Amino acid sequence: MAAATPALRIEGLQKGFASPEGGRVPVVDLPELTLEREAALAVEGESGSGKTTLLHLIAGILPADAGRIEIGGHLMTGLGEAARDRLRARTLGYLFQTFNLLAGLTAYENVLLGMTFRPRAGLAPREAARRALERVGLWDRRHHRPEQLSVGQQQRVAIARALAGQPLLVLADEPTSNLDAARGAQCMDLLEEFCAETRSALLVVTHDPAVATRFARRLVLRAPEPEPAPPGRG
Amino acid sequence: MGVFGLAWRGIGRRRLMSGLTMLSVALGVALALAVLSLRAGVRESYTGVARGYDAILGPTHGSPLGIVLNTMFHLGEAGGTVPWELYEEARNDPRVAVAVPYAVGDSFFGHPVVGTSSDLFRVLTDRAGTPLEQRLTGALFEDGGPFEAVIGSRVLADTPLRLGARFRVAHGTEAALEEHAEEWTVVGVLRPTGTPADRAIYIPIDTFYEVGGHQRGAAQRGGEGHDAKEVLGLSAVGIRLKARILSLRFLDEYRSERKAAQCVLPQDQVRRLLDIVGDVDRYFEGIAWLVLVVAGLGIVVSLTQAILARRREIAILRSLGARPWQVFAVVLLEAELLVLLGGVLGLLLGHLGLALLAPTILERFGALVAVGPGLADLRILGILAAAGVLVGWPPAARALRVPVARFLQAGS
Ligand SMILES: Nc1ncnc2c1ncn2[C@@H]1O[C@H](COP(=O)(O)OP(=O)(O)O)[C@@H](O)[C@H]1O
Ligand SMILES: [Mg+2]
Repeated sequence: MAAATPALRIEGLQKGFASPEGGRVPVVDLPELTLEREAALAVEGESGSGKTTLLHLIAGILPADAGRIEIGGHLMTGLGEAARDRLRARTLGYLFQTFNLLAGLTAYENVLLGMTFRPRAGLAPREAARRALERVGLWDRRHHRPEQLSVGQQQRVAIARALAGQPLLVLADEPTSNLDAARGAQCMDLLEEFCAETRSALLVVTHDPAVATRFARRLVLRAPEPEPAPPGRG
Repeated sequence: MGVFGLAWRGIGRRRLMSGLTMLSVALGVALALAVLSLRAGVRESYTGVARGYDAILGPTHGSPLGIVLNTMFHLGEAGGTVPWELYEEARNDPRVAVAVPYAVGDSFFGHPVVGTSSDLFRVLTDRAGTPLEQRLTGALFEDGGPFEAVIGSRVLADTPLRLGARFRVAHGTEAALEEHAEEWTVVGVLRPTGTPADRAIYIPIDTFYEVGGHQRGAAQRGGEGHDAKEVLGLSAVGIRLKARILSLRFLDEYRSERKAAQCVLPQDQVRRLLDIVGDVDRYFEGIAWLVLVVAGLGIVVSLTQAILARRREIAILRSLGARPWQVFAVVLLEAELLVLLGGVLGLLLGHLGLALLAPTILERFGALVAVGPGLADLRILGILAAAGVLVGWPPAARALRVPVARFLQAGS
């Protein structure tokens, strides 16, 4: 992996979903995007503009219809499902809008789980999980399960889980939408600082201007125009 | 927090459902173990004991099976008598290796008192094939000698009798009927043999006839001056032939010559008995398998439901980089753990139940049942492990098909 390769490179990415009326509804159409290593980018867009779908495509959770996605020089598009899982585990940290912590596990176990499927690099998983929880200030709550934590604390556990493995790229899906303005700002501070420490690139999608304006580099996403209905149909 | 930890957490989170499915597996396994062990124990005991004699001469009007059970298993009552001369005749038959006389009908604390000769201890063996003679603590009684007795291990355990103790016996097999006046002394104790000998009290056959009560009976029937043994006769004669193939000839001879006794082949009789019993324990076995199948279906249902409820969790695992096979493995392992933990619990329950039942089985049916863990347990666990894969597979396959992107977005 040459150091010169960007954290993320996208070319001609397209994704659509079959509409119930027949035909295809295009959701993502992104001709070009490059995010350098350790750089940060905000992707803005109204609800329904395809932000989550874009992150799913980058993470390899969804297969693209067309185009290329490279993460740290590794091609995600065109890989099989298991290979996409492996590349994701190795290079990405994912922060979800709804946190997606596992309800049955403690904060510590949730963070550790993020390390489980990642090939070992550097720190032992337990040590890495401990440091990440300490970093977000929740080490003393490590035995609490998600429902025993406040929403803000849950988001910090999710940040610790996403960053414990020092990923190349962190994808954050509307990380503040479940928080009030003050907590949202704190959350963004923490996320940006932590990413700087782990030297991870950061891609945040949001429809919240307060979040977007924090970033020097911004990209506005619009839902692509629907394809004209096939001839002969209503 | 690997695959194993996740499976274990899955079980812990659905404690009630997991507990119930585990319990049903345990019950099925315990039942299967009990049925199979009982059957094996009874079969081995009966066929092993029946090998003691090649033929038995019993009362003409007794049922063949009854004669075998009474003579070799000390069960039921003698259905008549065999003339003493037949015993003498058998002893002098060149084809006969050993003939052992039996006179029964007395008891001590419910344990059968058997008048016999010391030959019995040379012919009959314990489960392992060691002659009873060599399983003796103390001495053998002397044939025709004083009032001495050899007792089995259960007699030692269940009654006050010890080496050197003196005792009287009761007439009849029900405990505490009229007691005979004579006293015997225990001169030998058999170590546990796993055969009906454990329950018996053996006395020299001559002392049986010298008992006043028996002599009075003889006098009433045969008049004064006759030897008691000639008047009273025997309950049966056990015969060991010099070559086993002679037994059929022996049998034919007895049938055609209309002797004053019938000849039965104990191994034939026991085989016939086990065939009848076999049908019954096959039903029990069927029930045990049915319980296991129901338990297995329970696991399939509970895990499949769990997966429907946990699609979001599966999606999260995948988003964290879990490969499809790892998610599959978590679910499969969960089924496997349920089945195996249930199985271990079932084996414990089964062995405990057998340990509690074994003395009664030995008492009532004269069969020794193997108790305690053995190689068979490993085989059962092996079968269960395979069954675990079978029941875990469908829900695990469902976990593979969870659409990750869709369930990542669903609100918690
Ligand atoms: N699996 C799917 N099938 C069909 N349509 C979908 C699917 N997932 C998303 N969409 C549609 O794609 C569009 C973009 O969705 P999404 O990426 O979630 O937008 P955002 O995150 O910007 O709100 C929406 O109109 C949504 O209805
Ligand atoms: Mg979204």
